[in-house]
Amino acid sequence: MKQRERWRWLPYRVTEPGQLARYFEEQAALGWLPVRVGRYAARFRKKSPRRLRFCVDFAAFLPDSDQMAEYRALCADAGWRYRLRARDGWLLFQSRDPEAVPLQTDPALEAKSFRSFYWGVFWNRLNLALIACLFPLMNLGIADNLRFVTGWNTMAEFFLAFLLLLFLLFSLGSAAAGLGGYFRCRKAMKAGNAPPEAPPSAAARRIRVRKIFLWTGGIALAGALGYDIWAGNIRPEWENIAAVCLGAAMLLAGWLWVSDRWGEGLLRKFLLWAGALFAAVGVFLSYPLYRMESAVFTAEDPVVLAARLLPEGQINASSCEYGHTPLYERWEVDQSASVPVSENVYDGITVHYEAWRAASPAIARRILREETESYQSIFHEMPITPLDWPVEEAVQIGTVEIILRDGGNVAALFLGGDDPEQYRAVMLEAMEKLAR
Amino acid sequence: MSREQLQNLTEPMYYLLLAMTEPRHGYDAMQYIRRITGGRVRIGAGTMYTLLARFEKEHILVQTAEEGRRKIYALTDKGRDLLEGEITRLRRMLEDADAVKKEAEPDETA
Repeated sequence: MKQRERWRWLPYRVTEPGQLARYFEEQAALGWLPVRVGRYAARFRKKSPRRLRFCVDFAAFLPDSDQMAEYRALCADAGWRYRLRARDGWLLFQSRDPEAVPLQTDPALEAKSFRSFYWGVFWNRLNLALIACLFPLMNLGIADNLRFVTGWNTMAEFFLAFLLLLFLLFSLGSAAAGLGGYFRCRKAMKAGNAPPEAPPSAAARRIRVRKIFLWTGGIALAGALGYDIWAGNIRPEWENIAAVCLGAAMLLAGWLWVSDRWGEGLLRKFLLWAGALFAAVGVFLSYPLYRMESAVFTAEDPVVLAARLLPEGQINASSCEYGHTPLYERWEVDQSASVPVSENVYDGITVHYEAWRAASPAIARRILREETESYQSIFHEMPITPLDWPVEEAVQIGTVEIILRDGGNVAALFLGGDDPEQYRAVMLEAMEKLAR
Repeated sequence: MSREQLQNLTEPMYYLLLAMTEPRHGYDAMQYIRRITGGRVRIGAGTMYTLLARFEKEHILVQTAEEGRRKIYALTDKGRDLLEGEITRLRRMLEDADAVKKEAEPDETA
């Protein structure tokens, strides 16, 4: 398929206007004319190769103002055709005439318009970074909001914090580097000299740094999403929303690819990769969540078995659903519904037994983790000791409780100071029956 | 831009005022300046627009007509005074230079 549009990283900054213009001239000679220019990248459209001169101009006019129209007309009379307005607000003009007089011939005036242009962009950029700083300081609740959406603490929270830090580092680094370039450029302009140029190694380094930041963010996102799904942190409906959004993005990217409207654009690549990532991680790992069915306890389940520990106990059942998706069913045995569970005593031992039948191993993992975390949040020093029992996970929490997980089943026994080995046989039997 | 700041005009400013003694639009002024200076002074479109906007704001130039997107400007009385003042200043500078050169020349009659 013939490539008609493409994105390229911009190797030069706006503080190197001469080099930036020459870069566009080189691209035009190869047959690529800019159609959209951002701060870090530009989109080019395929045309026939041509020799053009470009000029980066810092005139500050609103895009649709009368001033802008007048300015463009005057420049056109002088042989400079308006090409585009960059995202940061500077203007790009092109000319076929190799002898056309440059747009700016008064260094003092050019330095002045460059100064007012640059500080406008700089403060905008700095404001964005400051706002990003304020989020964690003011605890505006990125984490809380996300927790509200997902219901549980997720790695995505850490990812967001990480992304924020990444964004902050990049913004501040970029602003600082740009500031140095600005002072050098303005000094040269005021002296009537050409702005200093960046060496080729610096241009290559900039692109490398941008790629590193982009890939780090992408890998962090993929890692956080993958972990959350594996650990059962993300509720099905949240994934549902993500699936719809990413699915739509995939469809859009696919359609644009088929209709050849996007060439080899960065955005198309990103959407395709994001879509493929979701297909791999989301579908294969999280699709079973959508197919979950109610997990019902039967008379053969260990809750009944546990009645041996609490012969006068009552069985209380509860279930947890999110939307129409059952997450788990929880059965609990205690001796008296009117007495707090922790105070139930049988043969001098405080005993409380719980069993969960989760709809997926991911949710069972989450249940186990929440149980241990809830103890740790109250008793910070309480040790969590792994037990070498023949199940997927078995932990002893201090001398308080043992929790076992095997597949999607979880069972917990309140020890009340007993030796956990005392209950090994009955608990393993319980897990075995749960697994049936 | 205050009156005092404009007392010493830059070369593009001076030639723009000179060009605007007759009503002209920006591009016309650019070509006129190029012609009368034999191509020595060339004003870019960006510089020209900035100067026109400044002079109009300072009431040195006034818009007299409009041809499509092109605005025709002419000097105001304030602009004429400014130009005359600059010409006088430049003339005095030349006279001063001539006087200094004459003093420096060796007296051939001696």
